[in-house]
Amino acid sequence: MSEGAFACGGVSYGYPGSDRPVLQEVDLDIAAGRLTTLIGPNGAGKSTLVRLLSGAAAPTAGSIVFLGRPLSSWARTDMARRLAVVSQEAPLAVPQTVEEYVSLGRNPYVSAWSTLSVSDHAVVTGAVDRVGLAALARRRLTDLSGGELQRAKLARALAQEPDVLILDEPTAHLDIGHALWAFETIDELVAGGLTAICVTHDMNLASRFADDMVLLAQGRIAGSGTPATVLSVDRLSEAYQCRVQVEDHGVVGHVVLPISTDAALEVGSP
Amino acid sequence: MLTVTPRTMGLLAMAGLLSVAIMAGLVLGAAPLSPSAVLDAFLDPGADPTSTRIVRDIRLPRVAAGVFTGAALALSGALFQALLRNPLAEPYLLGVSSGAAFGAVLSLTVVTTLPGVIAGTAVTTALALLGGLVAIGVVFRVASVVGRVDTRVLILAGVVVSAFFGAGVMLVLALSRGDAFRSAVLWTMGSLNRATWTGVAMLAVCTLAAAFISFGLARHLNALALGEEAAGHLGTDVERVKRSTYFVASLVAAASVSVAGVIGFIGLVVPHAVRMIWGTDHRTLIPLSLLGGAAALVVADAIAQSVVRPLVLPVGVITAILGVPLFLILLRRSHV
Repeated sequence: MSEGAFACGGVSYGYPGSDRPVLQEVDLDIAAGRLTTLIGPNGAGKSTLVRLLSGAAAPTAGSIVFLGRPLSSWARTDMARRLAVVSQEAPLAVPQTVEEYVSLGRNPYVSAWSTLSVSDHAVVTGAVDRVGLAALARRRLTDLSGGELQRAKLARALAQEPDVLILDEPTAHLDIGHALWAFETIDELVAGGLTAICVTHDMNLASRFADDMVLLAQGRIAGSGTPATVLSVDRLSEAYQCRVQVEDHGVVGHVVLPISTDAALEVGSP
Repeated sequence: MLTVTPRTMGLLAMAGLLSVAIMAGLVLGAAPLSPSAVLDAFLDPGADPTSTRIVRDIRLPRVAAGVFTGAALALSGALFQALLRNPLAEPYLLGVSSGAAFGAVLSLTVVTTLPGVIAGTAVTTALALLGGLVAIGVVFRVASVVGRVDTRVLILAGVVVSAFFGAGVMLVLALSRGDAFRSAVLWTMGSLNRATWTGVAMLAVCTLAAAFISFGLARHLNALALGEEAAGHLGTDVERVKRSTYFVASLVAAASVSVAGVIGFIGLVVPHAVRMIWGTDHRTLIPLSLLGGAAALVVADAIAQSVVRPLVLPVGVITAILGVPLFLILLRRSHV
């Protein structure tokens, strides 16, 4: 049994002024050293859950424990040394170079008035190399392709040398080759001891690479366990309000095929 | 092997530029002096007493005021651009200048004419500073909700407060007459004519303290460029950094306005130009903006004293005339 990275107990969240809760009484344990994927339809509360896990927002009810301590008791810098987040937002406010951007990952390790040490620079270079961007280190982020930008975001997170990595839809806007690369890389990192929590709509890649899977629907957990357990036709059809087909393709895991938004329609119907 | 980074090159280049600008500021003026006469004024006890007096008592405080005013404005601009995540932000966007101008105009037209009040630069400087501080406080109070500063509200509140104090300035000017009216209008144009060592010392302390704090904020400002939530994930206390940046940028702008009036474009153009050449890293941007702002204003003031001798043009006119075309070129090249 792995030690827990996160333990959520009765976690609820609602936006200020809104009657509709985004998350309702979520109980969830996320094991360390594994890849856990969060799947679910749009608006199910996946991104909200990872915002709560990362400390960007506080639950309106319930508790979250991170690496054995209440999340709210973590100092920001200590937290940033243990947890890194690859979010959906594009970092385009100012045209930083890849190297400058990845160097930000060392912020939690450097005091206010000091500069990066030789070892900090080595970590940055290592992170840039790890994602295959060494040749583009001096290029501005604004000049990168979508796939390269995603690599840069992962490198910045790796420069934090985290124990836990949260990725919010890392394969959004990526072609199948880049999406596959992203999951293979995450898989290698997990094999090296990292804990990864990945929000994704790509159930096929999630099925292939995830150790654990959590299905969220309407702010509640609609299923959790191994991908084979969670990816059942009935469960997915109910959660996504559409007809799906699930096929076991052995080495590549379970493949989910969307069939129709008409939940009653069978495969083979015109 | 010694490696020279672009940052070191930039610092050396800007320091060299500032040295040349200071020399130009001491040489040029209503009556041009030779560089050797300027050096003699400092080094040779037997130098011409008139030249020595011009250099030491008139030009040196003026150049020093230019150095610290320019540095303060460029620093303030760089900080506001980081805080608001907008390269077009500038020190006067959030009402500091209007508040300070209102204080100064009120001082020049009403307060210093009251019986028992000694008319002088110190009263106007103090009231300008007070006006700036009131504007800073009001804008911050409006934009702070439950311990959080909303930068969108900050901009809106700043623009509105700026308009309010701007109307106040016009009202006071409309009711004033004669010399008071003229001196108040001249004050709003921005000038280093009023430079005194007291004002320079106050501004120098503010600017150096602000620079020191800003160096400490630089890494967090880099993170803030990614967005507030992303900066939080990198360990930045986002609200503390936003509050600190707002107050440092505003106070240093208020201090500069209280000494030299409203001088435009330094705070907008200098950080922008530095960013275009040396990149967006605030650990480079802040020191280079300080040096670049100082050099730019001293050069502009030297030009303001030289083009229509013996008339001294308001330096704000020169910074605008030179700054606007330069900024438009930068705008075209950077597509901001």
